[in-house]
Parts: sequence; C-alpha cells; structure tokens
Amino acid sequence: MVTVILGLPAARGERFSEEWAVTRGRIERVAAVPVSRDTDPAGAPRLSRGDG
Amino acid sequence: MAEPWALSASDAAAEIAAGRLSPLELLDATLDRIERIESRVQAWARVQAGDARGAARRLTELGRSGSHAGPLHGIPVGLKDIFYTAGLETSCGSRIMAGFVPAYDATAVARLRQAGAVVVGKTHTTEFASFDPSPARNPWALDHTPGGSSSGSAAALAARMCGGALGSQTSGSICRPAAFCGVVGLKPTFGRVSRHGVHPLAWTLDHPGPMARTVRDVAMLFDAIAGPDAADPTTLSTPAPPRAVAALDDARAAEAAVRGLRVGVPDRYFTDGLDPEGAAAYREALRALGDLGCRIDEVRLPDLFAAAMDAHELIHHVEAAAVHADTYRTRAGEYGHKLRAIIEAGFHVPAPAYVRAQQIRTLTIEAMRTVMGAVDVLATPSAPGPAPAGLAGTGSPVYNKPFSFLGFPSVTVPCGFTTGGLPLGLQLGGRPFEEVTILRLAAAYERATRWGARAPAL
Repeated sequence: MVTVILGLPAARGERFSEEWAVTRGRIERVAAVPVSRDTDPAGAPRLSRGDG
Repeated sequence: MAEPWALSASDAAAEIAAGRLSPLELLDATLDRIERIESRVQAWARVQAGDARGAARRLTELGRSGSHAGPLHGIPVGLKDIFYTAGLETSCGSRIMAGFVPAYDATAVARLRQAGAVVVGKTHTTEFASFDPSPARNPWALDHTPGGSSSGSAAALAARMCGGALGSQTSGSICRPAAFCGVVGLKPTFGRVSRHGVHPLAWTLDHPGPMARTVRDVAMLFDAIAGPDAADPTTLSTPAPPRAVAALDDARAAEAAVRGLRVGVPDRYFTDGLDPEGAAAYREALRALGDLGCRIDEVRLPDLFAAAMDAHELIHHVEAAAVHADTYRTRAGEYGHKLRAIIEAGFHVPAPAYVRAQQIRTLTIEAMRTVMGAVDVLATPSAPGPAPAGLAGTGSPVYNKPFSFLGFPSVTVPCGFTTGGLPLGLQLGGRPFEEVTILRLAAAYERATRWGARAPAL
C-alpha cells in the first residue's frame, strides 16, 4: 500500500523480510510505552535551555 | 624529531609554529607515507595531492612572512566522504553518488580550512554512512573491519596517514571505528557542529565530529568546527562553544576538574554482550579513573531505556527512508543490501509509530538529565569487544547509539589491547554541551595510561 501510494518499487531487497520482522517488533514495543499526549515529539533536539 | 608523519597534530602544529617544520615538508612526508601503505589499508576514497600541495605551499609562504592561518596551520586532514567539498567529488561510498562534485564546502570543512588545515583527501565511508562496508581495513589487523561508518577516517589516523579527520555519527559511527582503530573520537552534543553540507543519513540523529590520535588533537579540531551556523538552525541558540584546547592546556584547572568528578557506571545495557577481554579492560579503566580521583558510582538507567533504543532504530529507519525515497524510486537495485533493507523497512513504519518514537526520545532525554544530575560523566565500554574479524560487517554500535539518540556528547579513548593486539576503547558520555568535562577526563586518562601511544606495525 505504502509503496503504491509513494510510487515506490515493492520491497524486494534480500534482507527486507528479516529487517521488517525486527522492525515490526520495535513498532509493537514502542507503541506499548505509555506516553502522555502532552509530550512533544523530540525531532531534532534543541538541547539549550537558554541558560547557556 | 620523529618522522613528520608520525607526529600528533598538536606536536606537528608546535613544530610548525616554532619554524622547525613547514606545512609543505609535513604534507610531503604524509603523502609519502600514504604512497607506501595505502594499498594495504585502503583508507582513502581519493587523495588530492596536487590541491593539498598547493594549500601547503601557500601556508608555508604565509608562515615565512610571519603569519599563521590558525591553530591547524599546515595539519593534514582527511574528510569522511559524506562531507561536501567544493570542486572535489563526494560520492558517499555509493555508486549512486559517483561523480557528484559539490559546489561548496560543508561548514565543518570550510572551518577546518579557515583554521589552516590542509585537506589531503576524502576517506572511505560505508555506503551513505550506513552499514554496507567500504574497502577500508583495520591497520591493527588488515583482515578485521576498521568499524564504520567513518571507516577510512579511523583507519587513516591509526595508520598515521593524516593528523586529524572528520567523521559523523548517527548510531555509533565516530566512536565505534575510533575504538576499533585505537584512536580518539568525539561525538559532540547535537547542535554543536553544523550538519550543513554533510549528506544526511537520518536528520535528527546525525552528528558530525572530529577524530584524531590524541584527545588534545580532537579538541583542536573541535574548537575549529564547533559553533553556530546560520545554515543549520539546530546550531543556533546553543551555548557558546568552549575553548577546549585552552581548557585542556590549563593543567592545574584540568587536574582539579577531574579530581572528585562523579563517574556513573550504568547498571545495565552497556555491558550486555561485552566480551571477557573487553570486560577486563573496562574494569581496569574504571580503576584508573578512580586513581585519578574520580568517584565511581553505579547509576540506574531509566525504565524506558530499552524502548528508547527501539525508538532510535525506528527514527533511524524512517528518516533514512525519507532521505533516499526519490533515489530509491528509480535506483533501488543500486543500494547495498543492508541500507536497502533499512530503507524498505523504514517505508513501512506507520507515521504514529515514528511520532511515538520521538516522544519517547523527549522522555528519555529528560530522564537522562535526571540521571546525570547525580553524576558528571557516564563511563562505558566503546564497543562489545575489539574489531570483529572479516570485512563484510562493521561491528556493533550498540553502546554508542544511546548518546546519538539523546544528543548528549560522548568521546572514546583507547583503553587497552586484546591478547591478539587489537585496540579497545573507553567511552565517556557527558551532559549536553559539556564536551570539556569529558575531554578533560579523557585527556587525564590518556596521560595516565598511554594506551593511545602505541602504533600499528605496517
């Protein structure tokens, strides 16, 4: 589905299945972490607190 | 004086400043060294002898007139081949980028040149700074990986083919190869060194940084490249960069700063899978830090640390997929197997999972700020062991990636050798923008143990 929408070739790399199995586990574990909706996504971290 | 190519960057700079060595003499000795050993080490993607000679000649003439370009006046450097160089091919270790000649220098490159460094050439990188290996070999054992992705930079330094180098780290690509090759690498705080002109692997995880043979040499390069850059907004509104060399050279202050430093030893993760020789070297390194007057305390990592490392991988894969989407659409078959799998998996990660991963990053940064309220530095092994045998992989970044995820600074310094003669590294992590704290401790440790003084027999 994703590849069709983005006009990408199907995932055919010889390591894709193995990598996807690992990635899927990561998605499940990350989704299971309770996170408050007040938590801003980090993005590129800007670590300065303005107190130099 | 030792052979010029054997001098550390600091020692070479001192010889040049004293008029006992010219930039041209140093470069010629370095090029001769490269000529003799490069076919075995294969650290360089391309050497620009002509351009380098031109620059060294200009610096030599400048020196004769009584002027110096800067602290790196005449020091030969290598640049990982994802750093853009004006007029010089930057192929990122990829067939896809072959022949690409940038019109401008990366900010870090321009700043090195401004400080007087002589660009010898571009060092090999794994493909697009990911995991498909480059031709580079480990100078300590040519049938072992030098690590990655800054493979050529680490190998060139260990083999004494340059005095300093640039690398970049998204997971473990500065500290891992530096440790495997027995040199020093600094992954600065995110936002400390501009990413402008550095081909991205994953925008929010990429950290350009210096590599060299000694901690002071790394500090010299760091001083040259750190600081705000309008072309990279993440470097703006950050604290003023430290004068790291001055901090190291103030011996009394440096010694006082190390004495009583609180060094945290993580309760888990950083020793999972550590091999016995690595574990012995790590224990010995902690003892040496204690001998320097540091207080060693175990610290408990946050409960979400394991999930944070999963989050790192999701962010890495999604951003890598986004970086390469347009090229992958038409040239998927030209990617190496490892990067292709990362890109393909990245396309399939649901967007909410990426956002959740970035939220976990926020929480982990705050939790680790709390952990590092109780200690000044974290000390860990730099890798689960020495450089693995074989050239098909580049070893594991597992102990380095937490600092890439957090954006906190980390440095690796040699901490021993295996019975087989391969280097091992000690990794020191610090609070955001406190590079000087970890550099001072690394320098004190380096001075006390002298592990970094050994050179591979080539």
